[in-house]
Amino acid sequence: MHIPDGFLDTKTWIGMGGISAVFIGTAIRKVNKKITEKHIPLLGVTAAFVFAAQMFNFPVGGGTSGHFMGATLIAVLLGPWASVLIMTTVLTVQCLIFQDGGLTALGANIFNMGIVGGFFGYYINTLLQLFIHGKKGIFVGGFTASWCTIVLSSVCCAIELGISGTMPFKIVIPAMAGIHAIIGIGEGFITVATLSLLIKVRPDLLNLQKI
Amino acid sequence: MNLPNIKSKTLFIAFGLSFVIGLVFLIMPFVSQKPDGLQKVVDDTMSFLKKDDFKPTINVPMPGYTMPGLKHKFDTKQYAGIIGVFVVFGVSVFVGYLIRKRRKNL
Repeated sequence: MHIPDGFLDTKTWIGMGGISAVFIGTAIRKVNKKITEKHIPLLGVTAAFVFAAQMFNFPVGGGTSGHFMGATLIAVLLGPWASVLIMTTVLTVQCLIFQDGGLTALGANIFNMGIVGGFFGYYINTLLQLFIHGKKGIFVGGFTASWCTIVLSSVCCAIELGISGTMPFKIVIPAMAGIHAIIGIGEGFITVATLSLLIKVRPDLLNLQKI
Repeated sequence: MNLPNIKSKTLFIAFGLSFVIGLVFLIMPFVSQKPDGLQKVVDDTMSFLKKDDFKPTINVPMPGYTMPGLKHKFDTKQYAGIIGVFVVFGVSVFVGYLIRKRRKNL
C-alpha cells in the first residue's frame, strides 16, 4: 500500500503531508506527557518488528500478494499516538533508504497506514474488548481491528488516487477494498499470533500504560 | 510503576532484535514476489503506462531493498532488511529518548 512518487497530484500530496504533520506534532506532545523509560525499548523493538514484517509479502490469490501493516498491533500495545510515531519512523526509513513509498507520497502513506491504522485499530479493538473480555477479547479485538484498518487504509489510499485523478473512483475504490479485504485476513492472523506470543512470554506488555 | 533495571531492558532488546533478525533470515527466501495490492490494481487498470512513467523524487542507497555487490535477489533483501531493522530500531529509540528528555527539561 506504499504509494510511490508520481501517483498523487501536487494538491493531494501537499494536503496529506500537512494533515500528517499536524498529527505527528500532536503525537509528540501526547507521547511526551506519558512516556517512561519502560516504553522506549518496546518502541524500538516494535518498530523493528513492524519494519521486518512489512517485508514479508504473502500470496493472497489472483496474482497478488499482501504484507503486514502493523499499526493495529502497535496501537494495541502502546496506544494510537505511539502508533503514529512508530509508523512515521518506519515509513520514513523505508522511503529514504529503500524507496518503498515515494517522498512526495510520504504524508499520504503516513496518514493511511499510521494515522488511520493506528486510531481505528486502537478504538475498534477497545470497543470490542468492552463486550468480549479476557484472552478471547484480545484475539477477537486484535483480529477484527487489524482487518478493518487494512480495508480502511486501502480505501483512503484509493480516495487519494481518485482525488489526484490517477484512477477513477468507481474503479480504484472497489478494486483496492476488494483485494485488501483478503490481505486484511493475513494482517489479522499475524496480529493475533504476535499478541498470543506476547501473552506467553511478556503478558505485562499488554498492560503497559498507553502513550 | 517500578522501573526495570538495565539488565532486564538489555535482555529484552537483545531477545527482541534477535527474534526479528531470525525472522528476516528464515522468512525472506519464501516471500511472495507477486505485486502487492496497490501495484496489482495499477497493473490491471493502467497497463498502458510503462514502468518508467513514475520516477522517484530522490535517489536512495538501497532501492527496492537491493544492495550493490550482492547478486542474488533474496540475499540482498535479507541483508538490506537487517540494516533496515537496526536503523528503524535506532531511530525509534532515539526519538523516544528525545521526547522523554524534552519532558525532563521542561
